Amino acid sequence: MSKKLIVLMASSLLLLSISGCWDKREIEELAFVVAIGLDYDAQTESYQVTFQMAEPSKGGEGGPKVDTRNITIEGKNMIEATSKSFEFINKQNIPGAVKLIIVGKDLAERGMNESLDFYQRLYLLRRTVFLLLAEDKAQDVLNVKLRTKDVPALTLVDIINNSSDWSISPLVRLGHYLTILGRKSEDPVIPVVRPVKPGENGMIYKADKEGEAEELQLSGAGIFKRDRLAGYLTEDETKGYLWLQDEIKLRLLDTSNEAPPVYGGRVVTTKTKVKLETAKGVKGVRFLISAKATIDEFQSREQADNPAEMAPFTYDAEEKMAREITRECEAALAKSKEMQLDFLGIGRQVEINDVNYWKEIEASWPEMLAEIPVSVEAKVQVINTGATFQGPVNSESEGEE
Amino acid sequence: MERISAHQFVMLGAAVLMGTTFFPVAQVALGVGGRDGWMAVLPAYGLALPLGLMILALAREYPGQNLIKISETVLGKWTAKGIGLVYLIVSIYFGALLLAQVEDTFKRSVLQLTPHVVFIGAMLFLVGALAWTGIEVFGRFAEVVFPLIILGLIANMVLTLPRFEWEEFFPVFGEGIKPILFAVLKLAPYACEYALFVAGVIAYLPQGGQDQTQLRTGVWRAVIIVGTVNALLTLTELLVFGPAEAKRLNYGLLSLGKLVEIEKTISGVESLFLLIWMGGMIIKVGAFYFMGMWGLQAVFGVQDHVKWYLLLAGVFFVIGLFFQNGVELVQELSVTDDYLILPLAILWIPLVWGIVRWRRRGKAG
Repeated sequence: MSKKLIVLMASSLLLLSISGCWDKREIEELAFVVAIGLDYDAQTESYQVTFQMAEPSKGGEGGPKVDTRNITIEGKNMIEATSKSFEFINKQNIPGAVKLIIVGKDLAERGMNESLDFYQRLYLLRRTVFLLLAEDKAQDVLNVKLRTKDVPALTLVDIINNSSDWSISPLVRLGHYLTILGRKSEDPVIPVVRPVKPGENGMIYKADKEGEAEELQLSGAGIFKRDRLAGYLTEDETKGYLWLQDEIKLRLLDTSNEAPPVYGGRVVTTKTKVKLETAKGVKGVRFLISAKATIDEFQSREQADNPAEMAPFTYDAEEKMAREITRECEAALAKSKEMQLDFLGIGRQVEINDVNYWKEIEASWPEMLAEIPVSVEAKVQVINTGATFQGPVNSESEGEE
Repeated sequence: MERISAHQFVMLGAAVLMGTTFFPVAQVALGVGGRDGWMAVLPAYGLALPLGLMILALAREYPGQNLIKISETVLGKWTAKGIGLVYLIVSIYFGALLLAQVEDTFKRSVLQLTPHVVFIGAMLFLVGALAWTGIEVFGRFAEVVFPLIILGLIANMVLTLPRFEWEEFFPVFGEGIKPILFAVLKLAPYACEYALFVAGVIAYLPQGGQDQTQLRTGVWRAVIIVGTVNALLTLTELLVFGPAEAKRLNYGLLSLGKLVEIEKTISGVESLFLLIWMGGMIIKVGAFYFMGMWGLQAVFGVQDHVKWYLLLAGVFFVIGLFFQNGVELVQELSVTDDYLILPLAILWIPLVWGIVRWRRRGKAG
């Protein structure tokens, strides 16, 4: 390599490093904003932006700890709120560490694109940040003082990942939301987060301060008509949505809606395929779900202690689990048709499978959603029953009577 | 006279053809061609093939001369001077716009507060020094940097695989073939930029018979490598963002770089990617700086003196500093591409080649 070339390349590197120092800031001067909460106050006609900052500190004997600092700022728009935050925050606000954006109910109902615009333009903010919908106000969620003393935003990120792994609620990132908005035939869905007080929603715990919510729950989802909140999905409908979107990873499933015996199982692999079919001259969409599951719970006095006795139960479990999956999917489909909101992407499936037919019906979408036949066919294969065939037994048939 | 090897020509040509086109290619292709726009990329770069081969054929006939000089013999002195003047103006103007685009890219992303003059000045220092050291060093620079750019692009694409929304690929040909053809037309200037560079660099090519074959193969290779990588990049942006988002994003590749996250271990590597992309920017601006110099030499007969390099750098600096509005800049680049570079390349090169070929046939007849 010639000397000149080496000098040139070295110059390039040096010049680049010099320009990087131009606006440098020391780490202790930075405020690591880990979550942003967006609310709208109709009375004052202003936005309330909550910045949740994680502040590392030395801590005690257990090593370094992370403190939470929240600040809610009112402003006519995001710029004004951000600008105003500098009157209170003694550090440089760095949005590069933002993990999630929580949108309050009032803002979501009003339409959230205008407020998200500021953040989606920020190069420092990643399109991979999670989007959540607060059941009420976003600031209430971020202001929860968790019993674990952890930063709520970071706890929520773990809940989101956990809940996505176990297919409880959809995982929605800012980038995905923007991509869905770009599709003419699909409406977005955003998971719902809420603070939970002791005894609420099946969660029993002892709060440090009586009457305060000290836990967070992620369940259900908000359905949007473009960027406006139009309704909610129940837990079952959300699960149906996940099946139909082929977003199920692992899933715990029980058949308590069916006649006994009741099976509890774990779906370990699943695939949802979509077909456009014509029946009696009418085109419709057919979802075909195939899943493999294990039996993890068998609530029955009838027990089986060998494969031959257990086999009929596994066939029964397969049928019941398939019906359970179908029930959840049909609940989501019914909501979609009832609300005339295509959050399941049925129009998009028509477009993918028969673009010419889509062009015929595109103008009347989503009104036509109620008319288009949609069916679900689920098949489950039980692959094992865990560590045993039968459940715990009482010796010498004691207690059978 | 300085010479570059056939391999250097291949790498330099490919690097110039690639240049900074990896920034706007997806936005333009998907914006004009819709969901199927990625299919337009390879054919659009394919236009560089006939133009490049025509120029190489002329270089064989007129060794050691660039296309402006060849045009003097073929079209007459004053016609050639006129075309040379257009070539000179286009090269300087477009090169300076690209310089401003470097600044725009960095200011939109990682270095938002760095003053304009730092970007423009630093880039010009590098480009000017590169040009002053000669085309051979420029060729070697491309030999080192171009593979890094390709590897960087492939790494970026592969590392965003978890963000793919595969259904964005469908339906294929949903809007028919027409949008794809429009996208080919809109992307065609990228190939023309390359052709205009080749029109100047031919004066430095080796003359041997074996070299000629390598040079021709080199044009093919450059087109296939760059066309394929940029088509895959466009496809990646389609699958990650969808056509509507890809159209909306300024420099989608920058957003793509920010999506690289490997579990909780690796993220925030976009600055490293930008460092690699900067190599492409230096090559592209450098190519137009060279073209400006060749234009000056051919039209005004100026000598290889440092004062002309400084003068050219001064002009680049002023124009580059003038365009500080990123929206205006992108618009200006598009207009220059569509209404100056495209017509100049597709009229001038085939015209000279056609006349030479026609005369040769006449003589043979």
